[in-house]
Amino acid sequence: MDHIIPRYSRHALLKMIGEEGQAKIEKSRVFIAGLGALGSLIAILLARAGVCFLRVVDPDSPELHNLHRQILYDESDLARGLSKAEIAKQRLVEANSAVEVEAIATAIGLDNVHELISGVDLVVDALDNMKARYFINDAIVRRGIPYVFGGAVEAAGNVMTIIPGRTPCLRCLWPDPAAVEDHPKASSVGILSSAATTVASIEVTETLKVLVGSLDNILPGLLVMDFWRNQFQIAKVKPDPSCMCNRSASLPEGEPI
Amino acid sequence: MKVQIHLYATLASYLPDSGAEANSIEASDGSSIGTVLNRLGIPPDAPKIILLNGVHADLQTILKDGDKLAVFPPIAGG
Repeated sequence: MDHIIPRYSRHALLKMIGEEGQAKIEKSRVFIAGLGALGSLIAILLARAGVCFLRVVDPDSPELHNLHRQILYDESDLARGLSKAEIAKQRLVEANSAVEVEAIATAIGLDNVHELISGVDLVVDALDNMKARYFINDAIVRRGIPYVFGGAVEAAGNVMTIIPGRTPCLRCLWPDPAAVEDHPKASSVGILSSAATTVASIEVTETLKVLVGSLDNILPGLLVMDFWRNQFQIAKVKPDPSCMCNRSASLPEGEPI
Repeated sequence: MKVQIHLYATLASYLPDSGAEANSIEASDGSSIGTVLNRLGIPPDAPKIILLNGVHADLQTILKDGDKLAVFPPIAGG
């Protein structure tokens, strides 16, 4: 009888994951906010890693100019009339039939963010705008849910893992959402496909660290990378004592911060 | 006084020596972050994140000898 190598053996063999860590991954529930360049690879890798539930959310349908970096979609998808969320669900379940995928074609706003982060162990950032990131940051801080923040544009990227009560949050880093809303966008400065996928890969690594309980190994700050200019730095970010993340823990649910 | 400055992504072109990981620049005692960035030609109203020795700071913060300044645009695409 042929010996079948277990599906996740190459992760379970890793000392930092092991059988115990792999079992935790297979019981995990993750919300991936966005299905563009970051979200495509994040969703593919987490589905293939065996995460048992993925909530994937994006309001758009694929367009031709997405295809150079958004690897969930092919040319044949452009005329199907389906949303990115619907296509993602098909592709992810084809990759791993054991994964439950909840696909929602909507934008993230104040009216739905609390529902979207409900019932998950972690939120992974794959967004393309700051506004939605603050909705998520404020919601996960209130609920104590880990959030892996990530962004990519031009040939650069940044990643920071936020564990409420343990690390700084997005507002400790950027206190004023209005000041960062006018950030460089791919539509004007471009985006290197490999920059996006590298950021996405790092976000997956951070996600797996959190899911297996390896919190001592998460990034110790904001990882900033400029891939074309060969700059890689981790900027330590100290929690801001006046930040909402230090006040919200004591507030009842629903109380404004 | 001497200050080390890292400029990232779309701000990197403002560094005097864009091939270097960081530049050590001279500044007058009592200079603010805004003064130094203005000298490099970075528009004051360009959105940026400023970290001084690892803690976020603003343009009015006064620099000291040996400070490490990191400035980058918000990298928020996806």
